[in-house]
Amino acid sequence: MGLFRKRKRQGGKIQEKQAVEQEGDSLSSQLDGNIKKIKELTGNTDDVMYRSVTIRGNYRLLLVYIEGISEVDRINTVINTLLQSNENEDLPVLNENENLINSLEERLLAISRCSYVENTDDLLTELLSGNTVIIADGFTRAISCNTPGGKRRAVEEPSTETVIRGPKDGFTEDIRTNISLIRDRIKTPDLWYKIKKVGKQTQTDVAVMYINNIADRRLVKEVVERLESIETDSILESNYIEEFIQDETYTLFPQIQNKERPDAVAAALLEGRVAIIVNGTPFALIAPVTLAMLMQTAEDYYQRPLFVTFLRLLRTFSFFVAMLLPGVYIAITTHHQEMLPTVLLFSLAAQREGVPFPAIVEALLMEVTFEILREAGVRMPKAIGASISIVGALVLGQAAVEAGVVSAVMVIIVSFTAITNFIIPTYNLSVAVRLLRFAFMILSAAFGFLGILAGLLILLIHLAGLRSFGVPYLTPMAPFILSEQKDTFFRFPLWALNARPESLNPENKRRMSANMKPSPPKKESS
Amino acid sequence: MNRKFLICVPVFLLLFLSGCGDIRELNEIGIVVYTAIDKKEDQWLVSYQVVNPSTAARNSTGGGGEGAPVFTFTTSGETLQQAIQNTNLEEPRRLFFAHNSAVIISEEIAREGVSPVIDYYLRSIEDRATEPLFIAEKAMDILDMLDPSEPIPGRLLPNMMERGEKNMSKYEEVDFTDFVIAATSESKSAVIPQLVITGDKEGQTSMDALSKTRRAGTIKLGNLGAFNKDKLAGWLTPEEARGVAWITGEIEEIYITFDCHGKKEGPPQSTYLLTDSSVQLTPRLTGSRIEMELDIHTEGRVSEVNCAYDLSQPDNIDKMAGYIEERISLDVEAAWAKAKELNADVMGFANEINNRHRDKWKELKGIPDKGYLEQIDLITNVNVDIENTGINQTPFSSLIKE
Repeated sequence: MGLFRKRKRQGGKIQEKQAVEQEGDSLSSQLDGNIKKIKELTGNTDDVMYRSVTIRGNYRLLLVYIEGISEVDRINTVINTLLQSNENEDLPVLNENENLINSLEERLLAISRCSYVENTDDLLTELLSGNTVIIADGFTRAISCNTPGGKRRAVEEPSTETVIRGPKDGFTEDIRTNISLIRDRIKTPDLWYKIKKVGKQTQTDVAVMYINNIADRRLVKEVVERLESIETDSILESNYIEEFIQDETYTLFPQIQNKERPDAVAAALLEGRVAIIVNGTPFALIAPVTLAMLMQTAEDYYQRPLFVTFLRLLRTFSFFVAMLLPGVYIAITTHHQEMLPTVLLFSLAAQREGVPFPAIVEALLMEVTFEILREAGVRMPKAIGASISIVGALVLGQAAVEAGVVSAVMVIIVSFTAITNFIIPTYNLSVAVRLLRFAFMILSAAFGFLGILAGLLILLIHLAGLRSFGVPYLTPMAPFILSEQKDTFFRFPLWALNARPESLNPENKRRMSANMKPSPPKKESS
Repeated sequence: MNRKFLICVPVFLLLFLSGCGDIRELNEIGIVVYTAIDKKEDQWLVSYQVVNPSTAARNSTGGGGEGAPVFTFTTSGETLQQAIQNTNLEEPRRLFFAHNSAVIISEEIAREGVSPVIDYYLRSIEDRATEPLFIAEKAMDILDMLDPSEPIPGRLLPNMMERGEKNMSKYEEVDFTDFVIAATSESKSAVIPQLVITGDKEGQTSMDALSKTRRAGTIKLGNLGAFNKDKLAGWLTPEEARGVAWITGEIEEIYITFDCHGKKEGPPQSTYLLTDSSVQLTPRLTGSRIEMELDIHTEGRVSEVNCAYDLSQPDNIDKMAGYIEERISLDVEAAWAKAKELNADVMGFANEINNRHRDKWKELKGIPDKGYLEQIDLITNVNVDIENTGINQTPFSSLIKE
């Protein structure tokens, strides 16, 4: 239990929060009083719409909804249903308080999901979620009908995680769409999720999703508890959640993965992980996560195993190149020239002739320039962004060499490092590598390879100490788990990956029967 | 928090106070590719061939550079280190020796004893023990030579050695480690190949030399210097050096010239290309003396036959093989005679004796100056196989006669 240290610390907070919560004022039986109250609470905002309907000649009903976030077509259907009850004769006795509301609700249920609202707080929440609230004169109970709408982006190809082979749909900003995209892929009743409202002001829908008989119960409980402990006024993106619930803040390495692809989230759920889907962002969170996982892509399982193994080794190599190459270059050219082949040393020395700065300054200059170009490329308008950043890099690089400010090799080093950095599939991991590169450059300038070695050791110790929801970050390398090696640097054929990751402690360990290797049909013995 | 902070402070200070340790930028070092060591009276004269990176790199990428790719200069001092230290008086760059690819020692120093040189290099941190050693009459002259066939500095001597080793089988590259092992061994004598300058030396010292098609002068591998302890005892000629290689079994791919009538005088007219060989050396005790039996078996083909021989007759082939065998025996005997004369066990007979007859070696060990060589008789058996005669059988000269 020592793994879940965070939970103990926050046990007290949850109870406090419940005590603070108050029930809002109950509704008045006077319709005008209710209208006044709503107007008062919403500051008489213009987009709150009131439409009154009279049924049975003497019963005044009021429909309240917010224009823009509710769907007018559905509201009209609700009104039509209400008006139809005029002709209906066999309505129950009217003077009993609840009967009108009950009968109306029964009728409305046929066209929409409805529920009762009894106080102003709930009423406002329903309104702000895009629902229509029906208040009847003389009753203290209102009906809320599900009529959310408004403009939403359609399901499109994810822009941050493109694949050559694999599904092309990505999450949108709408949590319902996102959940349906996952439901579409996993059609088991065991796919469970609970939506919670997080954020005092934003009241953002946050869904914790898992597969009941696969995910570790303690893990689910832990995720839910951490979510519930969040007390903030706003959740605008899944990173808000991430920063509140991650294990360690002062580290460059992400301990929760974000994914834009429903297939990747589905795969994680099937491994026994938990997904957190936040309304208003196409990025779903996956926890727990390991460093090895951040180096993998969804497409790893859609391509041939041998090729994927090659790609994974390539990524691992690139990870180290992106982090160490400028540092190694500085170390070799300023501390360990004896390591270079003689002829290469000549050409490196020739290029450094006339370069005014020490190698470290030269490297920092180029790296910082590149980082500026990169950041500028993100900010620039899409139409000119790509061309300007390429032109900037080429022109700046070439001109700098010709002007004798930096050597040509340094431009090669910096651009190669930059390209290898893009191979890392997870953006927030590649950011970590980008920053570490600077640390290694300074270390190598001061101490040569000794500095790089020391830096790598410190990094290793740091990584070995990180945990993501109780799972060590370097799993399955440290702690070493033999069975998970099949899907870490190597990617065995899918029929060989017959067990879920042990490190997640899944309730159900087997994915498939043991011997799924395809083989020619056995001859029937005659 | 406070403790963490206190630990971090010295770590950060370490970064900035270390002053970038032994940092040396590439444009602050002079890369030495050859070092030559001479002696004048009591002064050591150390000469360096230093790369001029901008022209050297241009050469390596194909384009002709302006100015010579290297420059040479000499400093003097009472000790080697002092001479090298004195470079600081005239050379703005710090000399960098880790890429030194050859050390050339003058013959004078070699005769006096190379111990001071070896000692310095074995202690040096930058220099490598794998740098090959050479002897030249005046060592610094070698550094002045430019060679158009190898425009990249520092590659000429190692490459020449490699070719000499492989295709001529006369010389073996001798680096500091090899030399030290051989010179300190009780049984083996060290060797160092000699470099000579043929032709006009002055003609090869300016950039003009690189624009001519025919070299005015060139560096060549000369004799093989045989050492007694650390002193040069004498020279083995290329033929004798080859004899040594036969005995030690280091022959790889060589051409053996022979006369197809077995004459020992006059220029040989035919050539045998050796492709494979095996050498077996067996020491045998015969009374007080030691009999060394050398069995050489070679395979190869004839590549030149300039006499009217019908090579389709196996008898003739056998006869030819006999002449080649004689030739090889001659080389071996010459080497053996020279070794005895110089009292230098360059072929490592003592090792063989020690391996097979340890007691005998203990007895011989006491004899000073490799005197045990006198007690050895060398018996050479050569067996030459001519596997084929190339794609032509009958010599062309006999075709004309018909």
